[in-house]
Amino acid sequence: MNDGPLIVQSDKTLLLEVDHPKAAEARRAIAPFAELERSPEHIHTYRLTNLGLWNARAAGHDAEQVIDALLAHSRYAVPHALLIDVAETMARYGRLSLEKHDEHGLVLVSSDRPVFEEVLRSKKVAGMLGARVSDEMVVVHGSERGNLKQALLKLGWPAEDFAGYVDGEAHAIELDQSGWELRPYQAEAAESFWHGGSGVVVLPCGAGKTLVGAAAMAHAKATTLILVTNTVSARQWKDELVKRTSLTEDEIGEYSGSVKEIRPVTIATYQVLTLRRKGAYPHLELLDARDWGLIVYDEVHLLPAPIFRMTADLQARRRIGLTATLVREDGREGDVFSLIGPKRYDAPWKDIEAQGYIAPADCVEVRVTLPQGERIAYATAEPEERYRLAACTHHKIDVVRKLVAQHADQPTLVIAQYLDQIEELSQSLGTGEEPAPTITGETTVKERQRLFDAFRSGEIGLLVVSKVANFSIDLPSAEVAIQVSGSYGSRQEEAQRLGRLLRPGRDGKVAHFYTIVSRDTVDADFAQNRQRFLAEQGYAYRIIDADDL
Amino acid sequence: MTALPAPRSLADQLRQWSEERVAHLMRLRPDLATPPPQDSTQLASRAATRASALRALDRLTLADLAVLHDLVTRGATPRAALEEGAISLDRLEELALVWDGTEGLRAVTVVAELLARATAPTGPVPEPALVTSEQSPTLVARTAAGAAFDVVRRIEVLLDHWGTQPPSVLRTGGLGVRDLKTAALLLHVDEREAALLVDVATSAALLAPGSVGEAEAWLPTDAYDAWCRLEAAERWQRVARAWLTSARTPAKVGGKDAAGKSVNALAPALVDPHQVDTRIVALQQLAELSPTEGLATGTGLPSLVARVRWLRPRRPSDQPALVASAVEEATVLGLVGMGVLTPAGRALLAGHDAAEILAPLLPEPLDHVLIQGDLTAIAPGPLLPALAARLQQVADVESRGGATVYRFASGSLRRGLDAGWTAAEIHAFLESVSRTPVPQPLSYLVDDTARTYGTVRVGYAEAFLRSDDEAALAHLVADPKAASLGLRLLAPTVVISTAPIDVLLARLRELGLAPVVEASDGTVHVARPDTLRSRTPRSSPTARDAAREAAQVAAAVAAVRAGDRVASSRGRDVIANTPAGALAALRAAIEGGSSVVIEYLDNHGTRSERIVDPRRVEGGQLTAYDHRSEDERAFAVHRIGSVRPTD
Repeated sequence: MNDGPLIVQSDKTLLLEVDHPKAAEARRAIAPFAELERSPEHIHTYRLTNLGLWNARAAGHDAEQVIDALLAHSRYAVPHALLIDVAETMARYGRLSLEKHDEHGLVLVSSDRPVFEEVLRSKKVAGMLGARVSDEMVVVHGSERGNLKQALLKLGWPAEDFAGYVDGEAHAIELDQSGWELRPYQAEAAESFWHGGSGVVVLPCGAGKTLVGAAAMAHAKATTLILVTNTVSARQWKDELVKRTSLTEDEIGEYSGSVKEIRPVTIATYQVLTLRRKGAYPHLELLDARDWGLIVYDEVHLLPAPIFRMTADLQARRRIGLTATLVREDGREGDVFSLIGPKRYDAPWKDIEAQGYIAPADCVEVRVTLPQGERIAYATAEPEERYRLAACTHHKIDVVRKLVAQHADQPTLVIAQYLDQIEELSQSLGTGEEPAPTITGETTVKERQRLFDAFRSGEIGLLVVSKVANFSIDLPSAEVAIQVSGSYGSRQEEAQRLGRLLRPGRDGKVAHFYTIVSRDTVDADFAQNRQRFLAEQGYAYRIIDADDL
Repeated sequence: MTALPAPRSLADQLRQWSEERVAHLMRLRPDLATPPPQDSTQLASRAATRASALRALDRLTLADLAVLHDLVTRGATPRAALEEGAISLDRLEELALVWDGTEGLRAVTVVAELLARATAPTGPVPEPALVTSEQSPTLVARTAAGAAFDVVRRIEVLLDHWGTQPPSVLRTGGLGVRDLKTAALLLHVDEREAALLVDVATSAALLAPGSVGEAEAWLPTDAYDAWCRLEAAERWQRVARAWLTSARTPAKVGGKDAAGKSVNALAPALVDPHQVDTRIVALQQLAELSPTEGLATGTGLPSLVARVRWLRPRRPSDQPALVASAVEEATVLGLVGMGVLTPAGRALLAGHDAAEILAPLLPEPLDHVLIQGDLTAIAPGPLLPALAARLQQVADVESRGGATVYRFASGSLRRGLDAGWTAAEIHAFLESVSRTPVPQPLSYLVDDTARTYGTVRVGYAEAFLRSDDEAALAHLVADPKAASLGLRLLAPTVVISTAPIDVLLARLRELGLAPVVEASDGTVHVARPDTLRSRTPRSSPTARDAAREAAQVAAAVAAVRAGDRVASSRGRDVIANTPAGALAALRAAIEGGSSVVIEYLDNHGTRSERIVDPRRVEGGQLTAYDHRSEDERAFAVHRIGSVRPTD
């Protein structure tokens, strides 16, 4: 027996005892290859996955290091089968590599004949490969670089991509660090990306991913295409780039539903790129409109499937993905790995919070009891109606009113999913005759911008928003969020909502995150997922009854 | 010894041996000692049987065998002419395969016959060396102790699971392929290892076929319950010892048998008579290495196979597979770590107590857990069995290994309530076992589950459901999933059902309700699933018990000597008229090449006396040269009334 802080389980999870004196050391040792799955207060759970191990290989770690880290920090003996599995999995990465050959162009090379033969005979790579040059080399059709990497990952032999990148059209971009400074972890993230070539940077919401993007652009010094989730977020990218870099407003173009500008730095929405007319993507040409030197993908975990297909054709350009989480609700983590690139930087939320950049949050679940009449209505309703009935009970409105009153002088966001509920909330939370301001999918971009500005400046203390506010909009001054209804408690949505509150800049103030839940209904079941997610992220979580407010 | 005349037969030689030497022979050939032979004549007769001789020949090394072949080819030869194989000859003599007669050394007749049919062995005459590499003893001990702990833990997990959900016994007696797969998944091991684990569990009498209703299923035995109460190291020792002396070959699971059918785990046919000896010989080779020396990766195993081949050259062609599986299984079971036989493994092999050597290396059982805000409880090591059992009633196991992760959910808490816990008891239990403060969401969940627990009550006599919760009943009656139950709302708080109560209960639980069963007097029944057990199979005493063996040998030697004294007091040349005595006398005559007078009852019922020179006894027939007919003839042994030497 050893007295290490790590316990290796036979199901490939690693348990790290946080209060152990050697915990920090062990965490540093396993962070490169194990994915942090849960970080509640005492024991953090990491998981060993193939992708995680390959990410580690891509970052230059080898199996000996991984095994040594496990053996050195483990309290008990490490299951032998697990060690063998780690070594075998890691050895699979890089048996094959994509390279640039002077004569043949793009080639797939392997020094391992049996693996090479196995791969060549697979149906999955049929049509992607050209003539066999030698026993260890085969020509790859230039257009299939991305597809081949995807196929090889599926076969379990992920290829290393040494084929390099085109420089793209040069364009001077510098960071303009007057009055602010790149935080150390942001600089480190941009640095790791640049050395890795292409890949994903994982940072929590509010940790300044935009600035990492800007720093990457300053490294590339080339024309850049930035893909974002929606128009509001596009505007924010633009503002931020104008403020933080040498770029001027004229150099940055927006390519969205309303405006179609192509400039040295162009910000496009996923929506416009994936717009389909008569079976074709009319805006796809944007990707070839300039000789882009860098492509930035914001919120990689939301990247729509068609963008993956387009990205497969962009393998010769440098790509950086920015995200708060590698977990995709659709399970396509492998596509992110093979098409955008391996993870290049990762910082656990809690660590960044401890550095003081993110405010800690107090999460409270408020349970309301449905009145008898509503319970019977709920019980007899069709299953698909149930969530709506439970989520939209009028009792919740009273609770929201109480909470808003409790936090009267703090900027507050009320988040709901259903339009009529938003309407009702707006009416009942208004002052006098005036309803509280709302933002929904129907609100114009201009109006949204105006309301956000007013909220930010403190002119409005309360905003009722629908799920449009979930993604990538910066509301730096919200201190209280009250969630009344939401779509089925997905982990991703949770990360976003919490991100709303965890923006930096308020010195040590505790943010409050309330969710209001109807007891004994599906609403409460979803709340369990939420509770689990938040607790697993290490946030304090309490449950109180509405009557105790 | 030199003063003694040269022996006339093997029996004669044995009579001249010291007691110590006879005891040594019986240790080398234990089949000679059971039951204790009457005297040296019978001992010699046993040694000259085909079966016993074959068994002894099978244990000869390549060098010994070559010398023996040589001797057989030459016939009786004076010792002085056999300089080269002196050491081998001594060994062969010790084994009573060769005796020193008047004409010199000669092989026992039956040995000569057996070897005459076999081809002389070829191969390296010097003993092949093992390929070894240096290992750190601490790392070896940790690795092996980890494996040992895992084996005990896995057997416990599996048998606990099978105690409630037993897999059925196949008609051919084994365990179904699918059940083995499920077990492997449950234990996070591959099927090969799962097959080994279930196999050693049966060898250790922890698992056996038992009946569940009409069907036969694999069930934990009542010995398993006793085993569970032992210390982990002692539990390991029981399992490891059972494996060491088991002739079963779980490594063949998944392969094909001679008929081309795939072999199931636990199949009765998974037995190889050479398994135990090969395993022990292989491990003994490792035991001869120093504690820091282990089989080298890659080349170590083939060198061990070559060594065993040299030591047991007459063994069948699958010997390499048996050696490989012995080392592999020993590694899984924690006797061997990184190619080194551990101190505990050495003790086990020598028949000493291995548990006390292993115990300090195993993690200490804990009396506490860490409860976290995400509703998990983590035991950062093995828990005290009683604590683990209680925790499992109120929480589900999520991950196992060195640590165990338990998760609390309303379902698991409801199970606790079903087993008779109250909310207050659960609170108190959590307080007492958690080293960290119980998080508020968990306390809330306990209260919330207790609040909804038992809101629906089901009656036997009329199959009714009653509940104070009108909405829940309305919900239930309106639920299309409950249509098959024939529910009807009698009053806002009472519903009747046309379905039998067991169907009803299951369905209600499926629908997410937590019904409790009410007896006719209105009291509430609590139920928890019964765990099933089968009877412990009676095991034969293990052969490898050093003390017992010594006692047996001593008793046998004493018996032989006593018999010899009786025989000598009667005079040497007695008439053998018991069946055993007759056989012994015939064998002695074969060895000595002498003539005897037999009293024989022929086919016509005529009793006659004949002078014959016995050649061999086989399959109830004596083949002998008959002096009267001057020809070789066969005599039925059971018709031979008596045998006496010629005058």
